[in-house]
Amino acid sequence: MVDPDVAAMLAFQRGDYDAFQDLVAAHTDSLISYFFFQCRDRQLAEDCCQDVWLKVFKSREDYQPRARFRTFLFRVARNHWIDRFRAQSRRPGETSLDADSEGSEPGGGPLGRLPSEGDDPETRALRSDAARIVARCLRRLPEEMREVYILAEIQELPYAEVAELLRIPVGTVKSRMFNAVRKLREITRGFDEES
Amino acid sequence: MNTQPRDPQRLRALELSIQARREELPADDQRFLSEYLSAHPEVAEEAREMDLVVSELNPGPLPARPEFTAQLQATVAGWIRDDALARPRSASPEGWLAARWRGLLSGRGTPGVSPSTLLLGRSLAFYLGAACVLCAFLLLREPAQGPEVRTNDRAHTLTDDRTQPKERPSKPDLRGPRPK
Repeated sequence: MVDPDVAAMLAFQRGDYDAFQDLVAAHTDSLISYFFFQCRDRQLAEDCCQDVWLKVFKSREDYQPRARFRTFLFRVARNHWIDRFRAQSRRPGETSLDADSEGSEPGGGPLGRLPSEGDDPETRALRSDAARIVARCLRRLPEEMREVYILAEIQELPYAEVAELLRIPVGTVKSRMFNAVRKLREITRGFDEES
Repeated sequence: MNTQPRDPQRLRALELSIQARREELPADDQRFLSEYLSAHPEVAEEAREMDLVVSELNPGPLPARPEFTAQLQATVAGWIRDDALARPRSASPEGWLAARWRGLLSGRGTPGVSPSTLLLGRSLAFYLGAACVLCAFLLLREPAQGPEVRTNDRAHTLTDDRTQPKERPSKPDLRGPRPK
């Protein structure tokens, strides 16, 4: 069965701008989620989301339908995320961006060191909702586990696609997912005991 | 820190139980999972607990803020406008003319080539081709041989009336006899 998003991307490649606008409308929420659960910063997530769409827009001539569109989109998003972190970590004199009240978290991974939340109303509202709690828990996972969890559980990509996207065996996806859930169980138990 | 259960069967069952939340397992895995969990209630309990954790820790896709959605739409519209303006100059590495010509030939209708342009291009190509064929025919055909064809070609055989001197009317000899 042909992925309708792939068909839309191919139409965009032939010059159908409406098809691109449809793709943006359909997948922006997923991209926002992906970046937000990586960094817990709504503004940064929105910036990254826009950057990813610009990359897709500019590189449409090179697009080849080798996988589902969502897999392609998340690969662009992941590469963008890694590039962004690398660019940030290279800046001289950059202090740890992870220095918020929660302090250092075991196994936070390098990509966890990103700007903390601002004080805008939207972010403040997020403090009390489930997304923030989940993001807080996920932040305590090692990077490779968090990435697999976000893609497989929150973005609902099949394990095979997660494996393809991350270029790892499916068995490794299963193992990372299992370890992520075990660790999350420990984290939530800790929260219960604190409260 | 090694967090893996020592029993590989148990590990497999727990991994599969997490995977089964999202996707349909192959028949072999399904059979193994149901048999193993029914034989090991403590593992089944652990799998349920993990399932609960995952269910609680999935808020689903985070909706974009309406302001951001509106801003993104405006930004995308700007990209499209700029791209549409710039496209004739940078449509392809071969250039705009090559892209248009390829579009005319292939009929695929590259961006910006309207059906009427295609029709016009094909019509022009047809009439130009026809004109070339006609010219070639007229230039290469054998010239017709007729009796009244006049020519300045020296190789052409002249008629007898032009090769034979005309007879002039004889005049009387008025010089008289020569002196001896």
